[in-house]
Amino acid sequence: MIKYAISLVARRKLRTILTSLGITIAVILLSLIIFGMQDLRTLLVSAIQTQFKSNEIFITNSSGTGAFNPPSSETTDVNETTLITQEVVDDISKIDGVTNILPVTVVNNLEIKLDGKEKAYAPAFISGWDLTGDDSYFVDFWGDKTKPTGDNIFVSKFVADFYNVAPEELIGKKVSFVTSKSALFGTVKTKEILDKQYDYIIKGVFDPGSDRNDAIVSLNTSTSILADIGGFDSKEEYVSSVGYDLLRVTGDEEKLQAIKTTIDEKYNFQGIFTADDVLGFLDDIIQAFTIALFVFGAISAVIASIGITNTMIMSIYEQTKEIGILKSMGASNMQILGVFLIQSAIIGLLGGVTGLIIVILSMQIGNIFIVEQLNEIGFQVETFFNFNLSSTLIVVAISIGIGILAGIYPSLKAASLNPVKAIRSE
Amino acid sequence: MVEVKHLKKVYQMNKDNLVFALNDISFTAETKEMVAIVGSSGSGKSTLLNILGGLDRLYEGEVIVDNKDIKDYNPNVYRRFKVGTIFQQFNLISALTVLENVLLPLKFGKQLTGQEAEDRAKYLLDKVGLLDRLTHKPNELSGGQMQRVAIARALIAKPEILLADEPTGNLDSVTGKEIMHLLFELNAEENMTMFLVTHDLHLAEGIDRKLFLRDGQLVDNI
Repeated sequence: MIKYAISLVARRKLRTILTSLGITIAVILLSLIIFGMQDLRTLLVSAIQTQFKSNEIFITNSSGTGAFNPPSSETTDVNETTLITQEVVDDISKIDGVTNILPVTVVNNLEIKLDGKEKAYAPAFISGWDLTGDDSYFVDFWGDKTKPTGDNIFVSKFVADFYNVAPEELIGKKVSFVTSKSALFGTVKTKEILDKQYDYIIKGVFDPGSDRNDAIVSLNTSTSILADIGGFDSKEEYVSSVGYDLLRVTGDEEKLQAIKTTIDEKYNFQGIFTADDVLGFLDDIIQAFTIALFVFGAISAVIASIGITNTMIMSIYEQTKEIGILKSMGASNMQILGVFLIQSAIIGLLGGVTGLIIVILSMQIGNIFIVEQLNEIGFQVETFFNFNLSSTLIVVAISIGIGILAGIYPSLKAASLNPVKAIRSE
Repeated sequence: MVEVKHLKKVYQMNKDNLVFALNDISFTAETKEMVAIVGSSGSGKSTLLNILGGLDRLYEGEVIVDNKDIKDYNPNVYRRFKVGTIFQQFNLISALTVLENVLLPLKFGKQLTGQEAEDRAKYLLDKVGLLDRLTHKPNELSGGQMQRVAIARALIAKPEILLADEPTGNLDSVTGKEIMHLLFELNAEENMTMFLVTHDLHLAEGIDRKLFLRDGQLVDNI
């Protein structure tokens, strides 16, 4: 019976291949969900967990600073936004459960120039942040771990990579921040900011993991630079009229949600988020992608099954006489049903296996490029797409299932043919 | 032995128009007997053939095969083991080889073991002179050879009845005579009743028992 069913499928090779193509496409989309999305999530979650600790809340009024790109779930009127002034910082530090609070200002219109080098590193994201080298923000650190003060600053590993030197070699070197004439599209350029230069000594080099941060100076230093560039009389005036860009609030893990709620109720910041928010946001994105792929997969599966049903009806139309002969020789309705269900299952299997071969080959090739790209932007991964046998078998089973489902109607039609009429047909 | 009693088959064409495809037909045929059913087109011979073959079960009257009404048999079992059919068009499955075609009826129900079935198939193919063509496909055979394969296939399950529907209709006269000769020979050897359905009186020559059908009625039984 199986041999006969296979011979029927093999009789129309081109038609079988074309019909199974629909399943192939559905399998490719389905495999992307199974193999790709889970791996993407794992990768991003691990990256986020190195950046955002579970006992931290980030508050920001700036978006797209480069250092942090928070998920801004709400957009508020700029006029109503609470400025992160020193007063606000002091108030928040008094909330129950808050153990530490670190304000950050970001300067992003300067270039970093190593003493004695022609080329400048640009665009540079420079943060004013009173962090020790032991802080969990850093993935890796070389040199003096005490907080940057005055002329002593930290630069990132990206700068060492840019000048093609080992991180350790940068320690003790002179470095200048100079006004950028080209960096950052859209940055406001004023007469005052041209030809500014600030000189420092590198005391530590850090690796910010997948975050983008090129230099860390003391909060005092960065605020002074911002006040100087912006034409403010003092850094205090800058903070009271512009505010800090970011606040990192550390607190007791169990009180974190309560702290966040208190801050949310009292102030109106553009963004306030915890690691959970980021993970939740990430899950939303992954879920959206998964749903989109699933919908496309489902649509192509439906189209594929219509194709299979059509092919099977054609096949039964052509084989009516043979069905009559088989019935006259004693084939039962169930046996006829079986012959045609096997045919549609074979079409499903063919499409599924072809799809998997395409997926596996393209993922092998894709892996090389994706891993290279991910490593370049700071993700430490060896492989992106991970295969497992059970998922592969599930995909094959689903494609056979689609084939069988699509074959039910035509097979029932074949099984119920009147043998007398069938045998007379040509 | 096959007994047909008061067999009636009516088609209702429309409200007032009934067509009697078979009208009160009765006859008896013994085992090893060869019966020619002769009639022109529309005489009801195909209807009779379909009923005897177990393909048409909507009729009045009784058809007793092996002391049992064929309506009391499972229709599939009856078609598999009680009756074998030879068609004018041979009706071989083109995707299967000669041997596979002959073995096909046994695939639907277990009667013989694999080896017994193959031995029986080879015995029959030897009888019809095609033992050297086991692996050939139908399209590699002549018309006469295809009909020989069909005969072997019809006999594979040792049926009680062999139905031959215009078995020489698609063959030249020489090959047709050879096929008829083969059928006579096999009818004597295998314990069965054979019905040969034809519109051609010449073909029925040499067959002692003849049933003449006209407009659904048995007009002569000699």
